[in-house]
Amino acid sequence: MKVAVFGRTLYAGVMAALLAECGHKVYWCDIFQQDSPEAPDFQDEAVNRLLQQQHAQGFLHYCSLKELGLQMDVYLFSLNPAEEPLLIELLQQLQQRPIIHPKLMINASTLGLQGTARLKQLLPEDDWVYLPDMSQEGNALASITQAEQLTVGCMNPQVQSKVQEFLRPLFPRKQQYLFMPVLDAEFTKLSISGMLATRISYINDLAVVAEKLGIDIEHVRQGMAADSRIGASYMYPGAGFGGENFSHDVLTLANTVSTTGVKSQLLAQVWEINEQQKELLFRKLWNYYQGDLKGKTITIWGAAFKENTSRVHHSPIHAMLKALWAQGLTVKLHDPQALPEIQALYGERADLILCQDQYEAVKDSHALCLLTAWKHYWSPDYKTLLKSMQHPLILDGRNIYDPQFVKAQGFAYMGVGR
Amino acid sequence: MSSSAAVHTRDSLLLQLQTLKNQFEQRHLTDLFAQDAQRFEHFSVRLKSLVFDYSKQRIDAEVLAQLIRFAEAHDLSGWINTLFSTDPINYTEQRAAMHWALRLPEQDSTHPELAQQVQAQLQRMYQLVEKIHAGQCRGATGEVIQDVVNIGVGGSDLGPLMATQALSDFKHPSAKPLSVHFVSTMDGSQLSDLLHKLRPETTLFIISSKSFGTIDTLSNAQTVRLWLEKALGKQARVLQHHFVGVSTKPDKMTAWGIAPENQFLLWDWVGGRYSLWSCIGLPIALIIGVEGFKAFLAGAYAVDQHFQTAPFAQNIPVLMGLLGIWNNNFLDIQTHAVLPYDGRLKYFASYLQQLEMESNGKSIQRSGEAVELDTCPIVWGEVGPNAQHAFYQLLHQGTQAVSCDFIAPVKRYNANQFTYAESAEALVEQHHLALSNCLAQSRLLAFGNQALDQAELISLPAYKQYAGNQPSSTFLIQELNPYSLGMLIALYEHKVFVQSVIWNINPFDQWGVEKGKEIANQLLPILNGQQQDVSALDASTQGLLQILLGKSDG
Repeated sequence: MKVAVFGRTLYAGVMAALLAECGHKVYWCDIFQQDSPEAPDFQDEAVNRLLQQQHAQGFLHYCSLKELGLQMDVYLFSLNPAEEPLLIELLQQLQQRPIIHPKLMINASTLGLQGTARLKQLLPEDDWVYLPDMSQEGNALASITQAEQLTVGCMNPQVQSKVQEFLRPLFPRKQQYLFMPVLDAEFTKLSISGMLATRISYINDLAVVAEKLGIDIEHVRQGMAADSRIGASYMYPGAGFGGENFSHDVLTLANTVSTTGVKSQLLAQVWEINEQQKELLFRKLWNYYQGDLKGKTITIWGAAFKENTSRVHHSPIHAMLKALWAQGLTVKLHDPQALPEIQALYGERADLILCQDQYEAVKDSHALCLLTAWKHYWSPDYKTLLKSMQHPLILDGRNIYDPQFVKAQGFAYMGVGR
Repeated sequence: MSSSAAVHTRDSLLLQLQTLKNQFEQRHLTDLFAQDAQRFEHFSVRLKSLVFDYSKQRIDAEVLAQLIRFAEAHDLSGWINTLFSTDPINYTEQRAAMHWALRLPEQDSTHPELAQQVQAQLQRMYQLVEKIHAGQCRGATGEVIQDVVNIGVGGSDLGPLMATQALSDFKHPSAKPLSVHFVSTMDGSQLSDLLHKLRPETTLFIISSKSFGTIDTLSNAQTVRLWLEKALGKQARVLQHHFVGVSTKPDKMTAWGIAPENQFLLWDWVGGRYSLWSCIGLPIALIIGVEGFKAFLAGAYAVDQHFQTAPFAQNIPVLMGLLGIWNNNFLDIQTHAVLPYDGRLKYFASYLQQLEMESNGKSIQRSGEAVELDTCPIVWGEVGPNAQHAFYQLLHQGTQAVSCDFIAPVKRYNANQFTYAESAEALVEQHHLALSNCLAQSRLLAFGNQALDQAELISLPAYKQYAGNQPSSTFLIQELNPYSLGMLIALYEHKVFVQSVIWNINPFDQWGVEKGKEIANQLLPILNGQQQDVSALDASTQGLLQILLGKSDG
């Protein structure tokens, strides 16, 4: 089939690559008005490689909207929630085209509840389906190809068989399709993010208690992860989760719950615990210095919401900067990739020093706060730290260090829940 | 005018007013309105967004002219000048009374030094307010302050409490949910109800006491201090991060443990009941924000200017004061009810009780002699629509004469505030219902039977009839907001001053309150068991003490 793919998400990349690989003719259509349409560079090398391969073999084409032919069989939309206006604009342009309806329209963007219905209003004659974005970063291809079941929001039997034919090379068996109404599928997608967020906030909540009881949460975490019913994923205590899409899902779900009038506090609590967690290191610092912080210099390693990305959406860095600045501290910040985003957000200011070198950032510092678990931070040169810092205090927001070892090097150490 | 000549003028004016009173005792408001179709135009004043309608007062142009002459004979202009100066107008305590200075504009040219002194403290308060709103004011554990408890009594309680309630629709957004609470009674009633709902880690206390010696406040402060120390440990930083003090006495605040950066100052020249414009107003600023508080001060400043410059016949505080004198001293109406038709003003009557009765509840003239006229009437009141189901019966058909102030906003629920936006339409209807009740009540009070259907009247039994002729004034404000509330409060402050000039008393002291405190200090050792001898006390107190000490079961 001829497939048009819209959007720059990881899921768009994975689907474009996989669909091309199994013989579909895929047209990745640029709607961001780039100079020369091409695939974005993903953190996931396997995805990039497969995309290049398919492009070279002629199964994947990059084109602009103008160049896109009218003979597409399937349109797949995978945009970020913030890009919804752009998506609406795109559909309005598609409206103008002399396309023979109905076409199979697959919405794979997480636009909250009724998101797909909003899109359908613009192209009502087409067959609309919702395909939740289930890609996992770091494991993107396998997370799709090895999925046991695929949730699809679609209840029309004729459209269901279209979907099955379209995805047959990837999901050959009938039992692999879990069809349900679009709204139910949308709610499923949000509920998965909610569950994952709940696991993180749960372990963070336990970490606070563990700390008061003199228990190392890392032991508890390992013990829990060993239980096959629980597992290890999304169970790391730390300075809070971030990220645009994930945070957006959790917020959307929490708001959805609160506006139904159902008395449910869980998700609001999950969110609130995470917000608290983002400034956890600040509170530890405050306690360490007994609230006497004015004029001190603090180093932060890591601004990105997680390692291997330059993105800072909902990252704990923002809560930390706000809190530190409000008390009159100067922040020296290092991040291998995110500094330009931070610079763009906060501009030049005397109490923010962006450092290209991680050791330059600790010079004359009263504390080192680790916020993002970049690999380069895992085994620092403790001697240099000890020499450069004004006071040897390490606040480990991701529990990546061994407390005993760090203390033996002559540092005061505080982690999350230990 | 020599002083004996002045006395002579005053006495003759008093006689003339008494003559007028004899005529007016028999005159009904219905007749006054029948004689003058333009009575509303003749007897109402507009000031910015406020209209003061006093046409339902039992006066005519002649009475009004005579009252104004009476005020002039008491040198009201001179006294207003003295009030707006640094002279010690509060002669029994040798202090000026310069609450007006608290609302001077930042760049005031008439009193630049005063304005600067006031601004310095306000700016510090604004910084704290902004820090709290930003979610960056932190307790000892580094958690964000989310509850602020104002501990104060009298002026340090009533003013902020009334204003925060009145301006609740103007709640400033804050990064984290923020609640403001008030604790005043010395028996700890409010504390015992409040503390178990609060987390010590996220609670900030304002110890608000002009003298920093008020036992009510300090005993409450001591209780919360122990409560905090129990949870957070007995350390200096607990005090540092959980207490703010507002007082004239920095040394006493320091001795108690308030950190210097958390001390906000006011001055001896601010009376407690006039102090909500200073840092005592911190709870108000926490609710309405810095810009809101500035508007609140600006509203009061506008009234200060009006009071100093408007001719008496157009001067609202002067008219309010003189109408009170006429009702109280001539028409023998000994109580005055304040009836807001807006639930947000539910503490306004209590606030005015302190303002008026603590100020003018005096019986000695500035000369040291006993007063010649009755002074402050009993001031009371309640939110109008609720009071309609309580004491309005007495107003309409009882034997007491009562004068009333009706207060109502023209518009409500019109600002799309998040607190009411969803139900705005239905709420606007409710407001119209309240307004129609407000107008109906003042009509019925004034005109009695005449306000009823005349055809019906003939068959009406006596117990269903209304005498009317109860005088009232009505304040209509475009909208109850920080600016207009500032105006309203300042109007009453100056009204009180006008009356004090006519009665020749000092409205700025409160010696009657001081004595009770002293006597309590004598009795406390007996209740604590430190002192056994009660023989010096009267028999009643002795008997009651026996029961309290458990020596008799009553």
